[in-house]
Amino acid sequence: MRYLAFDKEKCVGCQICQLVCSGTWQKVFNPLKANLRIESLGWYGEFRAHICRQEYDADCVRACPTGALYVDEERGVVRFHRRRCDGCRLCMDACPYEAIFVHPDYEYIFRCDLCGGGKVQKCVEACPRQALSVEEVGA
Amino acid sequence: MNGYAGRITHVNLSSGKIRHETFTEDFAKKYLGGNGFAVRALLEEVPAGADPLGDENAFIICTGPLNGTLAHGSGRAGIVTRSPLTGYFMDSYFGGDFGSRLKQSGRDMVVVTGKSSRPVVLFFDDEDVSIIPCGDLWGKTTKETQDLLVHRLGKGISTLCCGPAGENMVSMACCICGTRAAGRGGTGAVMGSKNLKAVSVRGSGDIRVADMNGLLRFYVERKDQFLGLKGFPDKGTPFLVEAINTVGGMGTRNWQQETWEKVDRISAERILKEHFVRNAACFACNMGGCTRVVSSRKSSPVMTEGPEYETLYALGSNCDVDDLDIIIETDRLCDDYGIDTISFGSSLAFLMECFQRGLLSTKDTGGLDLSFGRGEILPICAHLVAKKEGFGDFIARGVEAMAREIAQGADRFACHIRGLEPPGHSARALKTMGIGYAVSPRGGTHHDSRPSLEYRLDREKRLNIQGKAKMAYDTANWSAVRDSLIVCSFCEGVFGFALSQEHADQINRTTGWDLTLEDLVQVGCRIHMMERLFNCREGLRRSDDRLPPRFLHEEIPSGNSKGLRTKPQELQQMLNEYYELRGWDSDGVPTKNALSALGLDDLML
Repeated sequence: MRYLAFDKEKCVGCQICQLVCSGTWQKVFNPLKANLRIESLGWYGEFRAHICRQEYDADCVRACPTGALYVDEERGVVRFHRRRCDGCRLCMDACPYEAIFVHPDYEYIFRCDLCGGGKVQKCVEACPRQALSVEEVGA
Repeated sequence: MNGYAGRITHVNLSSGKIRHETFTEDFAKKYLGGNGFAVRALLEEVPAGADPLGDENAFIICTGPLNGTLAHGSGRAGIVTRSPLTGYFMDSYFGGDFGSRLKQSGRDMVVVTGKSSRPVVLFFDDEDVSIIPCGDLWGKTTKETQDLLVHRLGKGISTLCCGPAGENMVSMACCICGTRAAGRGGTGAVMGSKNLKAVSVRGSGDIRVADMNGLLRFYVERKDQFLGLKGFPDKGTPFLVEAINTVGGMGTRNWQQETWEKVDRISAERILKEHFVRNAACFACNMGGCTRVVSSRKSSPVMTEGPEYETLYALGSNCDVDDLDIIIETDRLCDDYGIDTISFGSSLAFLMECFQRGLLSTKDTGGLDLSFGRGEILPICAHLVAKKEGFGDFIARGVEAMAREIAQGADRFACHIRGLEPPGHSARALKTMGIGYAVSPRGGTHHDSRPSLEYRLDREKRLNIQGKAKMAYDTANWSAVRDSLIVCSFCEGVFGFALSQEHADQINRTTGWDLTLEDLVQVGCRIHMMERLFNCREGLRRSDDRLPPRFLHEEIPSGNSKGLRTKPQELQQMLNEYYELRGWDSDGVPTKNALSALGLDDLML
């Protein structure tokens, strides 16, 4: 499986990853509609990333009562079926990485699925400090 | 409307009334946003002769069509007001996410007028606007204020605030957002005069653009060009210390010299080697962050973001202080108190020369020894200025007012342009800045006419004035558009030092319009015309378009620009050329025809 890895030593907190993500997938610029989030931890440039780890035995998949979250073994990521989501937020409670988000404009959740498990991740391409990369780990 | 929220919010702090105003696409095309929107509002809202620290002045926070998008260097917002330091038009811009959040809250600009009877915070919580009493925040530093407001209003807000200096209406007080400053011209004092401690915003709305795929592609295509820029991505603005000192144009000991023999003591290399903690970035900074978190090396280390080139010049070479620990600690103090480091350092440098010449002694300063090089007095003076305590009350007035009071010929070496102390870019080594400062709507700023182009010319080409008025004109038009979009000056290295078709293309991709380069030049001219008009309404004329006597009459005594100055007759010739380019009459007043050509007939004097 693969996941989006974050290097906190390299991140400068520009949030370009969030802008690119919302622009790509929601067709608007809105950091609060991105599938990942970079959180500032204080005054002088320390950051924490909220990014899905794409775990096969993920708590969110188990918590989802409608089957909206599922493991796509072929692509090696956890994916999300928007139409099946009823916005119950049980997945958010279950996620240890605080990497599942909601926005008042939507009834469904959003989270990183490595751009659909594809080969190119827009945020990785855009990050000016190479703080994001795709890592592979054994299933 | 793509690129815009489409709404302006007016808040009157005297009456508590709040109203929203919409605008048309034609209005947006004519004034663009940011600087353009705000100077138009300032002309309409602030009557001639209004006291900058009175109810009638307006405190305007603005954004432009590129803020909140992925546009290069777009993590910015601006403040426009009548300056208590100069008495004229003032705009000052700051980095961070405030501009994006404000637009996401559904407003492009906020116009604050009146005066609250008690300290308040103005809070834009998406649609909702509230004026919240905050007596307990009065007296708090900018850092404490921002932390307390997160605690009170919740995570996810961005806050712009004044510090104790602004509360005390220090004429060189600035506004702070995060660790970034809207430094120049006393914007913090205007906040303080209105009992407005802070403006907080939470915005969750969308920024819509016309050509999302085109903008995303454009961003990635140009990314490496920004990262490849010399100096900025690795060292930030401190790389200019060595570069400008080599040109021979870095103000030293109150501009008595423009080359500093101790330059290595405050160089970028030294900062990176001895004080660097980590890189930091404004929101949406495509350069990977040109600023740095640094730490002093004392037993109780102080951290700050910066110090930038201008602070290193103002507190360093201009005061002859080579102690980076003290500069870092004073930079942080100035941020906490909300004091502009350029005006503060320049004011101290002026006083140090008064000391050197025997015009002042410790008897006049409450015991403060203000000799050049005495770094230990920098933090002491920052405390005194912020609170207007003791001799700090005098320093807080700035160079122009102090020189007037000291008299005894002190005006001969009082370095300011219409009350605003110049940044670290020489009016003698660079003729563009000679004319640029003289005609700048703000006074001593490097953000109207720009020095960047002339730095690239060799000494021979810098010697003469040919083409310099045009260079000042072209770069000032770019600055006006830059401040209307609102983007960072450091995009210049990639998109050019004057307006280009690439600027028009970015706007068009965002808005869906079909603006040409000529349209943009017109917008830049229109904005400058309105700023000039504002100043002329306050009585500004040709005789006010002047430079400090030192820059006109004393040659640079040493270094690679030795022998250079902007001679009085050269300045007059450049003024003639500049006025003609702008359509101002021989006394510097916009002509009826020029106003008419820019569609500003309704703004005749």
